Amino acid sequence: MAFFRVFFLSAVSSLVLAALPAAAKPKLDVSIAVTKEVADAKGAKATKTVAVKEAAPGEVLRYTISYVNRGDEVARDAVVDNPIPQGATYIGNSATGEGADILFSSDGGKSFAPPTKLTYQLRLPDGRTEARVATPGEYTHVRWTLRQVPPGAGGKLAFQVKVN
Amino acid sequence: MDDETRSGQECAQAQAGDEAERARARIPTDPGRVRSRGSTRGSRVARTRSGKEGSTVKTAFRSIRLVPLAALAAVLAPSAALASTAASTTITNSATVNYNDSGGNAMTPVTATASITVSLVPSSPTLSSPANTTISQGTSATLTYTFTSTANGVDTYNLSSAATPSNLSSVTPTFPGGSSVALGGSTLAADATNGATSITTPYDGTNDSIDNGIAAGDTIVIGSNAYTVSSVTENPGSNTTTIALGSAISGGAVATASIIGERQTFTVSVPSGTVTSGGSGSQSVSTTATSATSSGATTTQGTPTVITVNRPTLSVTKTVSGNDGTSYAASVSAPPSTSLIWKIVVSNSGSSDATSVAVSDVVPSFLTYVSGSGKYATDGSTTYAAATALTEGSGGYSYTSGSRTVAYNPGSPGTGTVAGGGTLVLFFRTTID
Repeated sequence: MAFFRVFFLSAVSSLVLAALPAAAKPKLDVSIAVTKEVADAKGAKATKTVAVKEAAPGEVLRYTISYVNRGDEVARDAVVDNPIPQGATYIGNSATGEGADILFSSDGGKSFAPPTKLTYQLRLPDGRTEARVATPGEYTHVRWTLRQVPPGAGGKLAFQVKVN
Repeated sequence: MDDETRSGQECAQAQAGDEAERARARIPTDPGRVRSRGSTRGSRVARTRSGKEGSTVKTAFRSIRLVPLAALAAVLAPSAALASTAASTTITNSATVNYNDSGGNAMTPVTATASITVSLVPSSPTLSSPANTTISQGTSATLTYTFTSTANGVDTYNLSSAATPSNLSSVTPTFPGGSSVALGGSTLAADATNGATSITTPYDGTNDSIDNGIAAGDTIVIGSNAYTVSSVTENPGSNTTTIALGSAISGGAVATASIIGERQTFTVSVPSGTVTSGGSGSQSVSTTATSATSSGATTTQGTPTVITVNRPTLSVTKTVSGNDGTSYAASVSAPPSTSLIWKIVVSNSGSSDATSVAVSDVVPSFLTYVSGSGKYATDGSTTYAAATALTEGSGGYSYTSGSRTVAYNPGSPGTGTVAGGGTLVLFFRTTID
């Protein structure tokens, strides 16, 4: 418990708080940390994760969304929507989130589906249309769905992008 | 400890596997599995809160730490130089959470954001190789270089230049306009379409009508063509900058993320040095531009510029005619009172101008200079009769009776210059006493 509290307080960088609940209510806090892997001073094989304020084109960034329910009631059907930031490209297979269903959008957030069902219509030169499966680079949004977050519980959702 | 390790490995394997495979497991055709996993998570976290299952917490963190290792190759791979995002661009990530209370009532959504700034990636500029040139000894060659940024942001480049002499003394090239130059650089935030008269780049975070070092009046290269910037309008609200061009985009569309590099010229001044022997030598000049941010981002001109340095080589002959110019010889035999015509021929066998040429001749004893007899020509075959008359005391021509000296010093420029391969002929008469 103490470990959790210290971690979240230090990680919160930008936070929009919901209004305090009057009675027994769930209250989710959420924060995002940006990190990248860098070679350790000991050698190229060792790496460490460092917080990022600057990144060069081509670098891989990891966004870790930390959530915690600070209310006194379970939060249900929490849907975390994260547009792939402008200037970055989603890296396939990088989205994680324990206990979360993960869906993606390739149409700007209009519809969400698992990767294999994430299709778009391609108009062929002969006028016919053909369904194509979107590649990870074409994803515009990541969506995590958490069935329930009990009071005091929390977790981490993450994905990686490459800076364009 | 064994449990932790195994959990981490399992997680890493899942990461390395096909995402589609993992996603299939979440498709609601298998709701029982999803539910059971969810409930397992819930109970794990609950135990964590009680503080009795610290190892479970560690397992969760271990798995998160392990995941990025799979992507390590991508982290360490060099970035593509020609497709990127401009330096100083802000990339903002934003996550929004919508959720309900247990009664199904929607709670106020919460949002978190995190921003990073794109950093400069120093890149070797392009540098022209000025054409070879020829100069005279004692002058300097001015070489004009064109160089263009290929970086995603503004950078300063330090210039250096070396001249390798051949049959010449060593010289040090100089940079009259300074030995460091800043070049702007940005990237396209949207495709530059053929015929468009403006482009869009990312906003560089400073609203000063200068986009990553690119300002009105600058020259920028889009695709392979150069354009003049007529104005820079920064739009912090949309995180973009609009750069208006003096002419429409031509030669086809240029794709988003292409580098927009500023182009400038600089000059290198190379002194001739002194020819060691003979009539000419050469300096081979090689100039390098290096990023002040990263010494690895450096470009040396592809082909050294060869400066050929020529110098004049003068020779002089003197003949005399005792038959009024019919023939000239090194010596003649004639009685007193004979009128002699003296012919002094100055030849420049070099390929460079000889300037400020001055000729003088002391009239020997037993001869008397004939006033008003001086003439000159620029062709060795010109006869005395056809040569151009000189007047003592003007045009650099004189006769000094005290020192018995005929002098022709026409000054420079003008007839004081004997071009490479050229000739200056001086005539005058004397009589034998």
